[in-house]
Amino acid sequence: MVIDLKKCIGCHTCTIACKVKNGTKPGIFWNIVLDQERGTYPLVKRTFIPRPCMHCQKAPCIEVCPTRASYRTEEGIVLIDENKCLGCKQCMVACPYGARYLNEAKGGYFTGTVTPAEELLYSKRPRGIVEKCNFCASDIEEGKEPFCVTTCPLRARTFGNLQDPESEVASLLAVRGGFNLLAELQTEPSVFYLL
Amino acid sequence: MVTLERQNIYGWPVILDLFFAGAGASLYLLGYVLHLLKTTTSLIYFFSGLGLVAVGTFFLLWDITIRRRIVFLLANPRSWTTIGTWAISFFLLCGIIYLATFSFPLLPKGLRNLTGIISTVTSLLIMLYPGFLISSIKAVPLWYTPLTPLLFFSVNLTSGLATTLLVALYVAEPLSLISGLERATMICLCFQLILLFLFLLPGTRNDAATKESLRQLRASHFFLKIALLGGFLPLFLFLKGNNSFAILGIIFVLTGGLYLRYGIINAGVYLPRFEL
Repeated sequence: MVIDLKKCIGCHTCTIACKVKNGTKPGIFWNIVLDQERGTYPLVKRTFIPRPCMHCQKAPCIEVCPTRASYRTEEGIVLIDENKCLGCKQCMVACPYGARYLNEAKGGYFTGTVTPAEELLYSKRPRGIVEKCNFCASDIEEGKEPFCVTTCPLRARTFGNLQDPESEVASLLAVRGGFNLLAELQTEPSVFYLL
Repeated sequence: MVTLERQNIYGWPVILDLFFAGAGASLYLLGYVLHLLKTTTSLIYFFSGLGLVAVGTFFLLWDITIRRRIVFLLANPRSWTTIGTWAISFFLLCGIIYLATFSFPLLPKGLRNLTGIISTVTSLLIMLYPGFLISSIKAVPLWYTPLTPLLFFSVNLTSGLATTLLVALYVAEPLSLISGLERATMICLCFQLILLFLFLLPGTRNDAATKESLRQLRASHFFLKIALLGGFLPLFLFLKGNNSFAILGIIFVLTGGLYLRYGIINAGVYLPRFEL
């Protein structure tokens, strides 16, 4: 995935779209948009940085997972096997991006009640296990793009195969460069940013 | 503006596991050494060591949300958690069998030797693995240093020596053994303080996260508390050469060990995640 920070206006549509699609509970954000201010007045610049899971090729979460619940697919997507995870939280400590959350909340977004819509969505997410962005893996299998990509009003996100030199993501990186967050940790993230 | 986040995933259950399992495994190992040297015949060292590791394991399990799946913890030999789980499982199993061979003399002698060796080797692993696990987390630069395994091993050994001394006083071992254990505890205590001092030196670690970790530790007078209450005070009490003072010294050593683990775990600050 390539995210163009020049296009992102911090509207949080991707965050909300992700929550609606995946039915994540309060406090759990598979995708967030961070707001960073740089410089000192009057030379101040504000940048919004969307943060999904980085789907690292050398993912520390996979290395530390004692149950092998965290794994990488052939396409390079890091997923969690819901039937193997026991909530030991080692992956949460190891993830440098803070992209993993333990699903342990009971309630919904409205005090004292869980709406029928929330109940339906939450039923898909087993409690007690660790969750994170899965690049909408089931949609990708059907040939679609992740929901945060299709819903972004500014088209700041581009999704594709980084290994294919003909793909849009590869040509964007070839033309404009691109960087990873915390590249010094050598986790080889699959999410690139354009500045 | 750089945002720094302190880790809040490892909490009290993990700290208590590190404390009890580390001290228990060290006590068991030292008990085995004392038996090999024929300086004691008491089995209470093994009982207490096993008990403490069991208490630590209870806290570790407490921290897991789906406990019916604990067998899955044995699945990834590349993970330090898996290595630790194997070590704890073998330690508890072989330790219990080892103790049983003393109560049932009809059991073959070879079984006692085998389980004795396995439980002792695994007790050493239990002392070692938490340091390696914590130091493997690159995202927390305070922990990501070769000194972390050494520091955690040393604090486990010191806690184990203090507990062994407590047991030795309880069973009224000969004075030579007690004074020997006191001397060993004092030496390890000094070594632990030197290691902690080196660990807290910024050295080449000039990143914002380490600076923040060290700032937090300085703000809570961490090293001063450890050095005074968990170091110099017990040293002074041990030098008094009186059993009551020694027991008080042991309490201070153990409290200092618990506080050291708490401090290091809580001061873990992540690298700034989204610095452009």
